[in-house]
Amino acid sequence: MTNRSSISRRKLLVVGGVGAGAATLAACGAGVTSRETGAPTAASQSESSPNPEPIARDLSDSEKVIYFSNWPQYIDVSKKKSHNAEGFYVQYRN
Amino acid sequence: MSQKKNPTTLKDFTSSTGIDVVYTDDINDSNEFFAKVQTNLEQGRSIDRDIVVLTEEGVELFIDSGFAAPLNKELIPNWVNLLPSLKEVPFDPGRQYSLPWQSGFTGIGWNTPLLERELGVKKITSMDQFFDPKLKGRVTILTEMTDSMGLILNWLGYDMSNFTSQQFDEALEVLVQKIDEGFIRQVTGNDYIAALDSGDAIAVIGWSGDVLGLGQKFGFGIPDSGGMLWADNMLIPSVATHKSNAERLMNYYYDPVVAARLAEWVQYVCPVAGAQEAMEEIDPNLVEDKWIFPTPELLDTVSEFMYLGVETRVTYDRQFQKAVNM
Repeated sequence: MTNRSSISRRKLLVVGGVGAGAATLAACGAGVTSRETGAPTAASQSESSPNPEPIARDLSDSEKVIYFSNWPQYIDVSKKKSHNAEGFYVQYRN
Repeated sequence: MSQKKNPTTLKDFTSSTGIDVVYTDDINDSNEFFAKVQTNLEQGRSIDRDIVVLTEEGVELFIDSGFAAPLNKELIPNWVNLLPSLKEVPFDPGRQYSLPWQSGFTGIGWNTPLLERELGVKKITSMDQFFDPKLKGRVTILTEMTDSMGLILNWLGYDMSNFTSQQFDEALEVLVQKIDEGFIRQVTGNDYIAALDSGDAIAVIGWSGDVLGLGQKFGFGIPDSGGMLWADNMLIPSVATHKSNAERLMNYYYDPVVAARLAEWVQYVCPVAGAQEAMEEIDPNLVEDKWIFPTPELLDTVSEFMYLGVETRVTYDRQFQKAVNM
């Protein structure tokens, strides 16, 4: 994996206590908001015991879309990856 | 953030399912990404992402924080194709929340012509060679604690998969000594590829797919003291609003043919059983590529870094960062 950033792709946890703090806040059980409306859509459930049901309302049946975030250079594209002196770049097919 | 559409496998997924994929290559760092979305996650608000690829440590952070959605395996029947060696992981027992996207090796990369000029050899096989005085100031190590310290721990005769804090401290002292003596040109993230390509660096501690993608002039290998095996993983945030669609995408990438198409391009270790056979039709030259489909012999030369848990990992990360002046 490569990119042009000086930030590494596999940099590890460096923010002390972030996990514990986040866990505490998550336990407060804030509602989940719709992407479109911003309104709460479902109450969150405990994450400590995995449940096959989603914790946010699943709009998949009505919205045929996925928002997918990944690292640079980490999926097949129509143009082979190439690089210059500054590092890699990729041109995606439109 | 830049949004790139229509990579080839994604385009086929959309064609076959009618599900559009908004693909964004905006993850550079698991911690950075977490910080970016943390507030929304804490407030239970959308982060505009239904599926993310994170390091093992990033997945652990999401799970421990309660921000990961459990996977519905009924929508991911192809998950049975996950290689057995990747099914049980300490950060996600039973793979309830994550599935590997790609796996890879941490080892040593080199610029072959420059290496031959300086050392008279065509490849590096040991950490002793990596720290040969003739390469002083022309090698780089990674900013990632596990990658760099893992290789150094093994070089000292310890085991990166099972070590003590005393051994870690000792390895850190060795690293500091190498830095102080001018051996290490740079402690770097992905920039090592540019340094290797330009010739500024002759040898690097790096990742398999990166170096192998550079071309024939460059080489990659596992030092005789051992390298590291890792995996990046797909995860659905708890606030995702298209969870079923995301699970269908996961299932799609666990189809061996699709997995082989992806592996053919990224050149990292494919986590999907059956992809090696499927590669016959895609690129026969890669069927026996050990860096995509590792042999047992290659796997015997690498280890996974010891599972630390969040608290200990943060402590070690801070020690490492202080040592390398990050």
